[in-house]
Amino acid sequence: METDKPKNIDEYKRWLKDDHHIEVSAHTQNYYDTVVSKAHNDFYATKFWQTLKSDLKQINQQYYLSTNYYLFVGSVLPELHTKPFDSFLLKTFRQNILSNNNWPKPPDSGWLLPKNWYSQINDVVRTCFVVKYLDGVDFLASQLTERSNAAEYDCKVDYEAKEEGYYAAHFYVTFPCEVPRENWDTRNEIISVEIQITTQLQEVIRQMLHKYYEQRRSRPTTDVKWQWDYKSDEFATNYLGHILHYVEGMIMDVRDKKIGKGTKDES
Amino acid sequence: MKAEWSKYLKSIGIKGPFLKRVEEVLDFYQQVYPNQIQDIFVTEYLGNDGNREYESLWLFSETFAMEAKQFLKEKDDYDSVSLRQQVEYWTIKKTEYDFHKASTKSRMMLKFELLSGVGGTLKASQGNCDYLKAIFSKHIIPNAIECPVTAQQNGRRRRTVNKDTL
Repeated sequence: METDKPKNIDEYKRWLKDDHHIEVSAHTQNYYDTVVSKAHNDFYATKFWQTLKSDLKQINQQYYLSTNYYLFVGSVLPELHTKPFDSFLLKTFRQNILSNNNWPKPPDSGWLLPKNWYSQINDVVRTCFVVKYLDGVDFLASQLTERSNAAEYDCKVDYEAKEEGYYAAHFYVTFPCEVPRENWDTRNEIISVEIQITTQLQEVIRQMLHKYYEQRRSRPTTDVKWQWDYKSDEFATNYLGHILHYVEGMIMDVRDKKIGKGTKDES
Repeated sequence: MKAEWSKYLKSIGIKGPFLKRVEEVLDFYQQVYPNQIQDIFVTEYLGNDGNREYESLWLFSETFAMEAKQFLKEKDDYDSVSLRQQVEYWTIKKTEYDFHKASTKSRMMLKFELLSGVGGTLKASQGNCDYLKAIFSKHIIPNAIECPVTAQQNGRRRRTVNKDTL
């Protein structure tokens, strides 16, 4: 008998219980909170993060020397956050069900279940750097890569450019972390930390649209393309994201002309 | 670099890559005026985003005032002028600064002009105001002259010519 594809988070929880004998309860959430809190504290204490704290002014100055502009508004390390359990579960729902083209078989990378989901979900600990200009995104990503390599942590950068008008670099750094088992023993997990790098302008729109993105991502996709539904919220908000990205590109062009750097027109 | 200069530069947030650039400037002037540089000063102000915007690096000897203009932005735009008994005019503008001890709200600007028509502008914010006051007391005031005739003759030029435009 073929299982019905879960359409919402409640159906997904039922599917987890029926098909995988996993009950999502208060205990599941408490355990999740314990694990990610440990990961958060361990990452905060790493040499990578602590060194970054003291190096931030230096990075700001290096960027200034090459552009005549500061990279950051203030050289303060952003706060590290943990992903709330509900968002975490929603992400597993998306990957196991909504974006799973193999349904009812597992996705290509396998089912995301408690035995592997702490190491597979790459943003249980996360933070966001805000830079002033578009070229600062790549500059900071390079600086973080250098420091990750020095700390011998694996890392990668994804330059996100979504159809929905979302632009940011997502830098992922992984580190070994000893997390508690449910029986209070410990085990080793490789935890991935997501460091988003965005610009001031994109940050403004991110703050405005964050809730909206969360809601939209939990819905199954429809056949109506938002690009043609000019009365929808998506039409206005998504195009605003694209327009801002374009404006930031233009700001770079003007800025480079001002400091006498070559521009696209001169190349 | 003298320990007092390092301390001063650190106090106004110049370290790391910026400090390297200061060392390059100092190296140039040490070659031109070996062992003569007594004091240094960085003209700066606080930008709208809270970052300090550094402009010129000034160096002072017994005789000369030297300026590395926009030393973080331009590459190697250096000059020097004799200060000795040359200061014809100076003006200070300051806010929240009692001329004793600077606070985080203190701001100060010193402009001076020499008999030759050359002049300079030095800006300071917060604790840097105390350093600018020290430069004023040690290098500007002792070189101020009382020469009404010359001052009058140069009065017209003073308002139209300064070092930056020459």
